[in-house]
Amino acid sequence: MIQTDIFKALADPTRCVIFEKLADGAMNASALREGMAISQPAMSQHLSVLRNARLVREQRQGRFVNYEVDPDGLALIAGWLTKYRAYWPARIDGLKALLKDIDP
Amino acid sequence: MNDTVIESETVIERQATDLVFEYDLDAPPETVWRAISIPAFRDRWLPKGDLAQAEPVASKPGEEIAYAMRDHAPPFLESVVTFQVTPNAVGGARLRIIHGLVDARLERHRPRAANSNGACLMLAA
Repeated sequence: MIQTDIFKALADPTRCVIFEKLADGAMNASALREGMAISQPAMSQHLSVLRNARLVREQRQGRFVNYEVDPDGLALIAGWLTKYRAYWPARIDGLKALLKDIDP
Repeated sequence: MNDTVIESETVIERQATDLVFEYDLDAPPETVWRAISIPAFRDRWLPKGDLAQAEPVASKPGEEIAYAMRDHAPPFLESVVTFQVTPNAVGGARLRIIHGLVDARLERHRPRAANSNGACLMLAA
């Protein structure tokens, strides 16, 4: 089940942050670690989970490895699902507040 | 995927590309219908800019209304959200939100079942 892999991969908050960083553009592992309290082996581990879920892919440029969001549609769908899973509960809070204001 | 039940909210992922939420609201269905269908009310909880167009793409008055949505960020994926309102057992309303991608660029990735289900729902509305 591809979607199960995707959700498992993104269920971890750290991996979710990594995926969102990469959604803004390709980066190497050390740039990814900037601002995150995470060891290099842990980062490699997270990247490997994301890669296995086909959310990110690596690109070698000489001695360097850049990571980027897999341009395959599955990664796009994952990004979309992650966003709107949080979007609707937030909108519903606004709807509930509005319903209190509308005269029945 | 297993259904996740959180208090009165249910989050179900039926397909890879469909998000379904259900909420029990205290207000009666008629009030909820006004909040989702009258633009002046709708704009107060659902930002106008998140909709591809202010007019619904489908509507069954009092029961169901669907809007086209457009993402703000690249690749600007297109989706349709359908709101279904039914009375619940305690005098309030049950609001079901079905949000699915309809972007043509994703067709090759979508499971066949998601295709047929999504299309049927929209055509029925």
